[in-house]
Amino acid sequence: MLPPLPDGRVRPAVLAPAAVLSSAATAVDPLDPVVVAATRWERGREGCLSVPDLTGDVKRATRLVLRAVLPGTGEQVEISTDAFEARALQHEVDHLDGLLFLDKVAGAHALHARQVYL
Amino acid sequence: VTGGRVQLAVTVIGRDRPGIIADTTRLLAGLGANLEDSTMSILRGHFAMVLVAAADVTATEAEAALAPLSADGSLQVSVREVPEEAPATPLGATYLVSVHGADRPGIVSAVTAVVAEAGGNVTDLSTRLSGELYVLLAEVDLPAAVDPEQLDRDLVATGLELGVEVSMRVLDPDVL
Repeated sequence: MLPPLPDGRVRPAVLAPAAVLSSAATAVDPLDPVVVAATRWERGREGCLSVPDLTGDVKRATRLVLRAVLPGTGEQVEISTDAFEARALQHEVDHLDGLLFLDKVAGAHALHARQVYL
Repeated sequence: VTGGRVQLAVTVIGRDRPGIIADTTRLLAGLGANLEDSTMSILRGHFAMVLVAAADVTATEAEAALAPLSADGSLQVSVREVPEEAPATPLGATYLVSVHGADRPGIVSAVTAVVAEAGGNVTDLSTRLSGELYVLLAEVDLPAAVDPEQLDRDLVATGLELGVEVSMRVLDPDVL
């Protein structure tokens, strides 16, 4: 678990899926992301490289607005999305708070063995 | 017990194979038993089923009727009569306690002891050992008088002692 960051310290969000990086409003990883708005919650399946063999059903906002700053310039940016990246972004913001999807699953039976396709 | 509808709790545990449920329920249906609640899972490769059925036969008679299931030694079957219980009424809000971390003996007992001490009732639970990672998910019904934040702090403290992560949050019901 990540230690809690003192106020004002920048925390980086490393967004693992390449699709998120390429489709996000910024070309670089945003820092210190804060969820501004989260609506239209839906349950969906997600996994995590930190939990290689399990997936889980997690309720996430399908419409999301994040505020963050760009590294280097410190420019404040807002990222709005209603695509799958909304789920990915919330998952990554949770990591910054020391949480895994295991902390957010929808119930005692919401964990599943990961399907292997390759 | 002679005559009258009774509730029978049937447990079947053993080596998994296709057809265990079909065989078990065919024999129960043959007795005129009516299946009520049941749950079945595969626990580390072992078949495990518990069901409650209403029947006009005794537990001994039902166990005798189910004897073919255990004939080859691969399954253990037991039947006992259970008193009729009123449907559980929630004490208050339902929380999900999530525990994950390196496996070691005593995680479940330590965490559930804290929940029990607070008066919380575990209504559903599953655990998984996935490689070195142990995951416990417990749905906990908390009486309104219990301070969930205090319980959360106690659980986190217990997690620190065990070297595992513990979190607790309101289990958001899907409202339809």
